Amino acid sequence: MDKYDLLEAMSGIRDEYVEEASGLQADQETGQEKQKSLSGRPVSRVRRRRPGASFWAAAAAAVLCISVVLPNLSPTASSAFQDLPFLGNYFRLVTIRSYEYQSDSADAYAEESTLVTMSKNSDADQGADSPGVMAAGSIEADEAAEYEVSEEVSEDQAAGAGDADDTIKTFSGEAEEISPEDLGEAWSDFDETEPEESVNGSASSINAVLSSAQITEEIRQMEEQAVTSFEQNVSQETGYQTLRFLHRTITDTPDWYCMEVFCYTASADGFEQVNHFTINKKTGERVELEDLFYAGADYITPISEEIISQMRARMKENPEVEYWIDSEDDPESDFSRIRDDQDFYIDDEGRLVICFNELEAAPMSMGTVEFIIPDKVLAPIRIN
Amino acid sequence: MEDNKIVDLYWERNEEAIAETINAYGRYCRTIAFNILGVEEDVQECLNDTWMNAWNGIPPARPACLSAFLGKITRNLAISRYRAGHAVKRTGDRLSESLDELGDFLTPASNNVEEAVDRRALEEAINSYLDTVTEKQRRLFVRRYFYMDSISEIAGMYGIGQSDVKVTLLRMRRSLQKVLEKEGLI
Repeated sequence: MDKYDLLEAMSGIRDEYVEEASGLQADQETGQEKQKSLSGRPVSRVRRRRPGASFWAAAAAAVLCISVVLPNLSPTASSAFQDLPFLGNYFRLVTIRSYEYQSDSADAYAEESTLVTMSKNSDADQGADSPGVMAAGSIEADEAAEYEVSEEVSEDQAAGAGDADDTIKTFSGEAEEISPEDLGEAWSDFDETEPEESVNGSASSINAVLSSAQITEEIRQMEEQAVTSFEQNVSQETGYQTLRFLHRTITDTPDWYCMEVFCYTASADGFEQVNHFTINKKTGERVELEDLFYAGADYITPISEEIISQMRARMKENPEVEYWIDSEDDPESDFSRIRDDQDFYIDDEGRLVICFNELEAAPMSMGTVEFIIPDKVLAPIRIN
Repeated sequence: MEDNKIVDLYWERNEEAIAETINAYGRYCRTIAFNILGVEEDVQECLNDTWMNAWNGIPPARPACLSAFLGKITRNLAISRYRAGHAVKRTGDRLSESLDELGDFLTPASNNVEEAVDRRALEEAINSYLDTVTEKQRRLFVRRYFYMDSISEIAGMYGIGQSDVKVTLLRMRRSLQKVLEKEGLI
């Protein structure tokens, strides 16, 4: 079989599926074609209100600096923050460049992105001249630890003196330059769902900056490692090599921002790996699995038991599905519990979704697998 | 005019059937042809062939879904024209991109033009796979590999990010690969 066979076989896709995707459902009132949105948001043909070109020029200058308070923000940038529809933290994943490689024996596509954050706080939190925070760039985890923020913001921070200058210097050194065009594309669709007011506007903003910078740095390291490994394999000429390194936002609600990093490598066999990052938008803090639960609570047992129950149900419903449980020949290798730091994300409905990479809980033929944990399972122990 | 009435015109051998077909589905078929061929002259010839094929095919056919019936005729004609070299091939054209993506999981051993392909089995496997996915995934897959839309077009059409489209399609290709391997088709 060759590629054309596959392409031509697509003509055999069921008529109902072809029509489902055709977009030919007519609006009975207007007679116009209606596109069904898959994002939950209306797909409007009306151009959304967007900040003007001067905002992006100001933003490009602003991205190299962050501040707890922004007393010196230019009037243009200040007014741009006022254009943000609601108070709170906004996150956008901006692809700033891509690595591409194509030869007879290999091909690769890897995106390098920055998680940009903008935080709009009330004037009462920070003063009339300081509408918010904007940041883009990366920071090592150990550097971020120096700037851990408690719920209370110090008087100095609130006044914008001392610590703010130090913070600006740190992030100025680490931040990537982002063009206004890149930011424009990222903010082309504002999240118009109103978030709840931040517990503490300034602390939340700082946390949002730190979280997005940490995540950006981790992704950068993952991408660098994936490309390095790919190039080594290519140089060793060990057969056809493929690399895909992509990321996307999967949840962006008033409470949660979650993104996914997807890495696919193929040599003799293909292997995919998925990692998720979650930020609590109200506090701006990055969230690990244990952070979702009250201190000392046993979250591993109920989650693991629920997953095993779902595995059994899926296997019973479909004999072709296989998980590593209830095996007779090798029970010691069966899945029994999640890891303390098991990969997860929060879906659009606020539910916890546990994720397993290939070979973690099932044969490779199953690929990456996910399990939604019902709220009732975690209600006694989950904080948010 | 409703589809069943258009089909009735074909059965009555009333040439108004063609005009009504063009009125209802001309733009739809044109988009499919243009996505594959990209050259206006070739697109027009493909469309003319589509209307002729429809006239010759109905009857005996009485398609339940006229849009899919016509869309598939156009698609097959366009791909044939592309392969036959009558179309001017451009680097980076949509069909090449789709072919490259679908070729992701064809190993050199399976990418063998000499080996006969069980076309029906392949189609059944693809449909069986599409039966198992969500509507969102299915729409993205069909827009990309049936209609040959670009990633940016698909993203704009459904109000989602381009990265979302890319990752979804990549994961679907991987899953389809496993299905085809299990069926012994690759």
